[in-house]
Amino acid sequence: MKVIDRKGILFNKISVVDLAIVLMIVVLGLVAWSYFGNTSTTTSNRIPVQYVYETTDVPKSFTEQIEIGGNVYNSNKNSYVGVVVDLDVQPYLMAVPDLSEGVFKNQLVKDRYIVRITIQADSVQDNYHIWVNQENIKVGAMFPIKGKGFASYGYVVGIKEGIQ
Amino acid sequence: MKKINWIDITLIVFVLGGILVILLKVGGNQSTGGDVSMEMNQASIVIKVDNVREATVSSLKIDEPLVSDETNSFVGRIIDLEAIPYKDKIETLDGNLVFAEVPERYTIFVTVNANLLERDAGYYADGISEIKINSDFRFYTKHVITSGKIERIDWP
Repeated sequence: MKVIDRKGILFNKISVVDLAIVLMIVVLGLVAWSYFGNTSTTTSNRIPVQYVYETTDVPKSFTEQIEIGGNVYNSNKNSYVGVVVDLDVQPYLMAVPDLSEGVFKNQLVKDRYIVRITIQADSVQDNYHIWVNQENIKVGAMFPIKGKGFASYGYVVGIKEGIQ
Repeated sequence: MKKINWIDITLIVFVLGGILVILLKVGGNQSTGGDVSMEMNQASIVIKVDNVREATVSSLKIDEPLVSDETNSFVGRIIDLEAIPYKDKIETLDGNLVFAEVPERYTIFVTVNANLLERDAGYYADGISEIKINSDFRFYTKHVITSGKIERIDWP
């Protein structure tokens, strides 16, 4: 059997042109992946993590809806982001400028609260990320949450690892 | 030889188009004329992050890898962190402009050790993320995502 026949078919199976195209696509894919691919290098199994989610300027009725042990979801993606394990409710203080003295002062906003919800979930981690389902958990990350009777926007303000 | 039909030609055009797009994207900011210098040098990039809370300050760690959120590529390792109280301007009643500390807010200077590729059009961390003084820069580590401005580039 000839390696390549007069029609340019290799081993009577594939044409030189088709093979060249397949090779070019593979090389293209490798180049694209090396430049735009994920930065992650290692992935671990599920690791329990606790994170503190803060939402501000909410009414008392909001705080009364949050239950320890209740499930929390990303309200845009409808994906599970963990279970409430702790709750801290504080009066809402807002930094406002004092125009006569030229300083900022914390002012109490009446009947409004800051809520810090500690949420526990199993995460998948690598060198760069802590994933809880589709949520990338980082201090400063903003996402909307909802529970059984509440919904709000807020930020992750703390991450606690090494949870048993 | 096998006769090349129009399907093969279309495929080849698509593949060549793909190569062209990648070349433009990867080397997109190089000038088309003149000499193109390609030199990788170590430098310290200082990123100023304003108006953040204590949580962000305490979650950034020295020696952690820092990644550009725009390109999703490694920039360098954090070699220094300095946090000072954040100040914002107030126009007082007597018409003066003063800078006053905002309670519980901080400015952080994050210094990153990076390999910068020098091209005619600028500097690129690890050859990918564009580094320009005064440009906005959104980045993340394993535990923090935030943004700031590139304050300066220190060359050794």
